Amino acid sequence: MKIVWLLLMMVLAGCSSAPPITAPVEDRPASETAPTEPIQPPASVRRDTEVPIALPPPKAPSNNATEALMIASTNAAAAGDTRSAINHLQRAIRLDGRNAELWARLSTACLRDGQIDSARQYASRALALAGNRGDWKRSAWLAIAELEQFDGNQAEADRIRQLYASGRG
Amino acid sequence: MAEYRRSGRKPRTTAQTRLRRWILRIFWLFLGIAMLAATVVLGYLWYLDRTLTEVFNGRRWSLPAQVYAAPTELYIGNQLQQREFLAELERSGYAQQGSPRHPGQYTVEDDTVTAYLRAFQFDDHLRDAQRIQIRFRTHGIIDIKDDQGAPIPLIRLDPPIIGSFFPSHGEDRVVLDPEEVPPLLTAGLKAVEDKDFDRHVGFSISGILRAALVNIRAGTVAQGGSTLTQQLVKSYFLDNSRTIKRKLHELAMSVVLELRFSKEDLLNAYINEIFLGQSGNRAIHGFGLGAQFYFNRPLGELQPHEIATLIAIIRGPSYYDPFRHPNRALDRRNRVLTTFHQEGLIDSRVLAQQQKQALGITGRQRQGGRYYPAFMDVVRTTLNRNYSRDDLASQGLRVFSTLQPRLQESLQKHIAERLTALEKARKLDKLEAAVVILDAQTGELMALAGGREAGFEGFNRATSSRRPIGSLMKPLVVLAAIEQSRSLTEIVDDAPITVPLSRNKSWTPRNYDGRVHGPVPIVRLLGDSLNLATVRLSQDIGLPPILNLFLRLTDHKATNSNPSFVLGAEPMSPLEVAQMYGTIANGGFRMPVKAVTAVLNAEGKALYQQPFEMQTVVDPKDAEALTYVLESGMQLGTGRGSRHARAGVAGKTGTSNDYRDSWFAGFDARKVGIVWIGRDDNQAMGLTGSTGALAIWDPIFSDLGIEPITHEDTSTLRDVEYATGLLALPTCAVTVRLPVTTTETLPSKPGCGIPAETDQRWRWPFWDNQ
Repeated sequence: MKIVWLLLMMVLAGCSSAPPITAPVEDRPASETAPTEPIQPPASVRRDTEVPIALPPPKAPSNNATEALMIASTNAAAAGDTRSAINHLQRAIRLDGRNAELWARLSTACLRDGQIDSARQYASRALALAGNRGDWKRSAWLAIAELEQFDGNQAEADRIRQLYASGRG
Repeated sequence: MAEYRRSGRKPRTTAQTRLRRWILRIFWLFLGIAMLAATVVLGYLWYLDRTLTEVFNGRRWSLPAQVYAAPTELYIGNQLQQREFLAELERSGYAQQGSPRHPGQYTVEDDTVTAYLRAFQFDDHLRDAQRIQIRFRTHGIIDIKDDQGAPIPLIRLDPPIIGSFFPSHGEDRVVLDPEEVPPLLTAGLKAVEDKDFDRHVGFSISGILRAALVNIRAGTVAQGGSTLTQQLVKSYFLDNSRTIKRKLHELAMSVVLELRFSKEDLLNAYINEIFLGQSGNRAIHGFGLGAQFYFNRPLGELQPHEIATLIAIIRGPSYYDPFRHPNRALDRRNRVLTTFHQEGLIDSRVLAQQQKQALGITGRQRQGGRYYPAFMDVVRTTLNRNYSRDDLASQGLRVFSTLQPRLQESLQKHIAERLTALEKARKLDKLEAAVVILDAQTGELMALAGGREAGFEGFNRATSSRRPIGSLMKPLVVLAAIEQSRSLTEIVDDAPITVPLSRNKSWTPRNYDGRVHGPVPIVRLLGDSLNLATVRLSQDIGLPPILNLFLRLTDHKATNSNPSFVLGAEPMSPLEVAQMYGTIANGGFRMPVKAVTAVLNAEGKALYQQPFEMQTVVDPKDAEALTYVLESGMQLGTGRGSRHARAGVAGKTGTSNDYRDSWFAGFDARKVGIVWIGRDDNQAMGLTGSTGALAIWDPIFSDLGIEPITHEDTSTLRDVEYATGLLALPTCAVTVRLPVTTTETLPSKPGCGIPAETDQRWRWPFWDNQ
């Protein structure tokens, strides 16, 4: 059947001159042979729920979200997924950017990810936001202790940790 | 006789020979022609086959990069109102249903919204489809649960698409795989456009005859005879000319494609290729984008009547344009639905029910509301640093932006309303405005308006218009003073001053009100925006430290290094001003303004993720001290007319020479808002920062909700009289609360019951003068 149609087409084509094939209007690289992929994530992309964590009873309802993200970040860091840990903290900071605890944790996560300059800046930010609030100051200084240790100032790191471990800070 | 016979045979022989020769000649001629024709045809076919197959096999539609808004975070305590959330759902293309059974649907019952969220690939992870229940009270979200009643601490709504970077030829599309296409669309397309699609080999004689018959009966061209394959060829390879030659090419190409490719392949190509409408210079191609363009929903979520509308449009995207000719489109849609029924695709009940439906076209795109050209301009500038124009137009990138559409729309609304009101009240015309809203904590651009007209793709005043910023520069003088350990209560004389310039010239500034205010504390100098005192203070400090501070805050050098710099004779764009004030609002940490947080490739892999970049450029304590002064200026100074003056915000008004530019820069604990009003011809308007720009800033921040500035360390705060800088009690004077360094001891206002603590080191000109 196809041969019959091919012959018919030959007759039709015989009446024509060279084909006026215009350049395709889209960019279609000739070397590409695979059909276009749809915008869909591959199966390898990690699937999870938004915050797949069993939460302790919240202290205050408004803290639910940032607490959930802090726990998710801690879990991700424990699993070695520093990138996710950072993403969770950045998402939390978008919700509550004046929370010094979040910046301190982000500093530590970035230090572990090798982003040293960012880690220093985030620790400074944490300290600036902490003001006189004890728990935030402690978090900020402990993040600074991590940086001191990274810089080889073990004694200073120990001193800060000792100060804040005893609750005097 | 013999001769006769010989001669008689000879003529017969000659004639036969001649005839034979002629026949032979004709035979050879025809054979030659046939061979030539065959050669030409074979060559043509070979060429067609090779070209079409190569192009079609390697078909790769340009997949324009799609830009998403920032996702809305849902959590208990979020002050999002129920009506605002419903607007967010609508913006993201969710449809209200009696009971949401599929992703993309929601229902409302009293204070509870049940929404079936779609699966969505965010920049950091893939969220599965999920049904949630959200309860609202007047103060926002009070509860979020999943289907099993388990609490959800935090979840995101999939963000709407706010734009795409289609190529210069204008084609925009969302490409679908065969499994993403609803069966009703494929069956409906065949039923309406090409009944013989599964049987023919590119063209259909019966289809042509059927169309001819219908057209003769109708007396007009009511039906086309082109198969889907021919339509595909026409759209993909040919132009729109109506010539026999083009038609023959179309037929030949259709047959070649049919011989080479499967029906499923061709139908899928058709579904992704066909032209469905035009919006400005943007051509809507394929049903994937068609569904989004006309219904703001994915194709898979469309109802039969909506699928019928898309099929109806194919015949004439302009003629059946549902925006311009809704009745015509509705009429054809109903005929398409009837065809669906006749072909057994829907039953009578569905037909009756679907034909009752309104067109349901979303009008947002046409009005320009969903596309935000000024913001997209910033996104484009960002992406151009890392991606070529071709990449953006073809690689299917997914760009996650920081835009908050709810805020953006509020901003555009208030700009339009307030400018109209100002023009009416003050008999002005041709006012323009630009607004930038920034998240100071992250540097993320929340909204940006480049002009009065929403959706206008023209000159972007927020990024490209550089105008003198007037008194918005004064906080830098005060900050430089703070960095030099000067007290906010230090007295500066607001008295006439002449500053020598080069070449024997000099500059004599004046105050806005033309008056002289005498000795004033620094806090009032800024709050009341006193020019003479500012210039005097700047002369005392020296210009270089102020210029250096400008560089640190904005990350670019000042263009004007004259003394007038301190009164804002420095042209800046609203976006640059946002960077400067963002650094102050962020406690001295400069975070580059950004509009893009991440870019994923078509496979969902992160190509680019923008971290929170920051740099400490001012001591946080100094930035905080300046914030106190800017708060005072809102409470008692030029910002006191603001409805938020005492709500915990900081800000500064600005007016350029001859009232050509009206500025306001203000921030709360999280957001910075910069507003500029002026005229494109740079003529005077007669508006100051407080009578013009502040009138736009106020309602925008009302919509946003004020998050009051809080100060963690209050140990150094003292109440001082605003006018004199003396220690005072709020009960006996108009006071402001300012940080005072511990080494200072301040004189008290007499009669306030505060013992004077005059430090001999400290000279108080004002006090001495009493």
